[in-house]
Amino acid sequence: MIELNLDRIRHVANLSKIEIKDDEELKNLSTKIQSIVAHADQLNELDLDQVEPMTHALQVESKLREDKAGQPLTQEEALSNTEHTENGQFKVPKMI
Amino acid sequence: MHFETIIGLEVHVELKTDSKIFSNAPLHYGHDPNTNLSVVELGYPGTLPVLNHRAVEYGMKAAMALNMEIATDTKFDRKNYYYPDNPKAYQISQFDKPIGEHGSLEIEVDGQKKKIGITRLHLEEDAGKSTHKDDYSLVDLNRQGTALVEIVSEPDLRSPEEAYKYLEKIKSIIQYTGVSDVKMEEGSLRCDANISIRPVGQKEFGTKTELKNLNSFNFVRKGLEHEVERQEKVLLSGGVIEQETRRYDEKTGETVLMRVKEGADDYRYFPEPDLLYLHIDDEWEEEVRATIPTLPDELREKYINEYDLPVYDAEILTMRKELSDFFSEMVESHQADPKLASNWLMGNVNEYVNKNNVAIEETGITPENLTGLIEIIEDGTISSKQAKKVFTELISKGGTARQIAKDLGMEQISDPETLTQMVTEVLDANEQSVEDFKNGKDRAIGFLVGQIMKKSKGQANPKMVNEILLTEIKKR
Repeated sequence: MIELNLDRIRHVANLSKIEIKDDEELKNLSTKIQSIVAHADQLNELDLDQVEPMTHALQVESKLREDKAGQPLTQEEALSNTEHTENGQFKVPKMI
Repeated sequence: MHFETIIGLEVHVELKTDSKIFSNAPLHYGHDPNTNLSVVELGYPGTLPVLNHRAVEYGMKAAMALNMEIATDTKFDRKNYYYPDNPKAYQISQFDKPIGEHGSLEIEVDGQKKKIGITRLHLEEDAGKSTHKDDYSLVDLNRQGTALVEIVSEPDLRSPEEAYKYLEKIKSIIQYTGVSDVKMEEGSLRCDANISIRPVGQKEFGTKTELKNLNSFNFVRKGLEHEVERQEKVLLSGGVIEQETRRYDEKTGETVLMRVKEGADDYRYFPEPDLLYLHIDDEWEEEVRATIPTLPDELREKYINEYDLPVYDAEILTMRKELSDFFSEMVESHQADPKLASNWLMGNVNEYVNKNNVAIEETGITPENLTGLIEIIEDGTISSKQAKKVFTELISKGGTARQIAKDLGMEQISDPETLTQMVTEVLDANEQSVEDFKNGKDRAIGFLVGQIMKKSKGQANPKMVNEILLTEIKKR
């Protein structure tokens, strides 16, 4: 099983932009995540040596779409779920 | 201590499809912000990507043109990162099963040919575009979801010049396949560079830095040149190269630190659950392969070997497909002299097209009428000086060179009888000059030619005037 020490959990939280308040919350999260991982880890008890790895539950091929443009959303529609706009663009916190 | 430079390039090319890679939203460069979107690009809950057939074919086509092996079974993966230009918080890309692998292309530096390996080509979606203000940023998502291929080279490039040549070659090959506009100024071709140096003889690579913000081929070359110098200075002064991302500053010509990379990028790739396998069978592969035109390298050899063009001409003419198509048609369908055709295309035509920022097919010039222009210069109907005026009319308005020359009243008089008549009249009226000439004053001939040209209102064929004049003057 992958070792999930507190540093690693902090790292993953950081990558996922999840804020962890304090050490208590971190430990609490750690216990929960450990149990989820342990649950999934049961799969490793199976003997899968003869089974080809698969990346999808469905062994079905993709259906492709013809390259035809449809009617896009209007700018107003595209921006309708936010109040933070400027000159037809999304206004977001400073990035760099 | 001498160092060796190691460069690898990542090139992103936007594919020229009518709709986005995973939705039917249209894509147009330069539209008003956020008007080329569907709910898929906005990452709304419950929306699903549906793969664009043409995007896959264009990816295959680009990969084939770069001599790659095409995957039989390929798939898409999620690359996770949070950034406002990407509302889903992941980019659909390809991780371990790219559509193309193990390719190569050939560059030529200082007369030496060199094969550069291409590791992989994969399909992915482009992100939106952000503009940074003082204390906030603005996001236009029009570009989000545009079909993109990323082409990763092997670390085979050994100098900024080789990197430059590699980019030129990629650009022209992709342009020939027609899958992209490959315009760096519009962002349909973008490039990042990885660069490291190592003491000559050392086997291990040195620590590399990544260069971004390379907005033209020249900046790629200059940025890399500066980075080589910088890394050498650091190493020679006993320092260490940090693994970092640097930005090329166009104003100072230097590279500037953007961020230090701590450990590897952690994108937590996993197979994209919303898309199924993509199977490419032989039949489909061959169908796509059949659509690839003759590529620049092959054409270049043909121009040099069959048409006796200088290497330089062949290189310029094969950089863009429109140009070589035009040239080939002149030579093959209209029997134009290859070198004369090349001169016009590389000279006046290129100049006009660049100056007016138009494509050659948007002008009045055609392979047929440009060949016609060359013909009437060669047969002496017009002089090469007059040809420039005819050309200007021809390229801006179209038509035929012969008709334009006639309309401009500039058809050269090349009829020997008419010319002899004129020469006789001028000689009769200038007995003194004839006398001077006979007494060895060569200058007199220039005066006489001038008089004849004046009489013909500049339309006499100068070469013939000279010949006839000498013949006639000797008779006296």
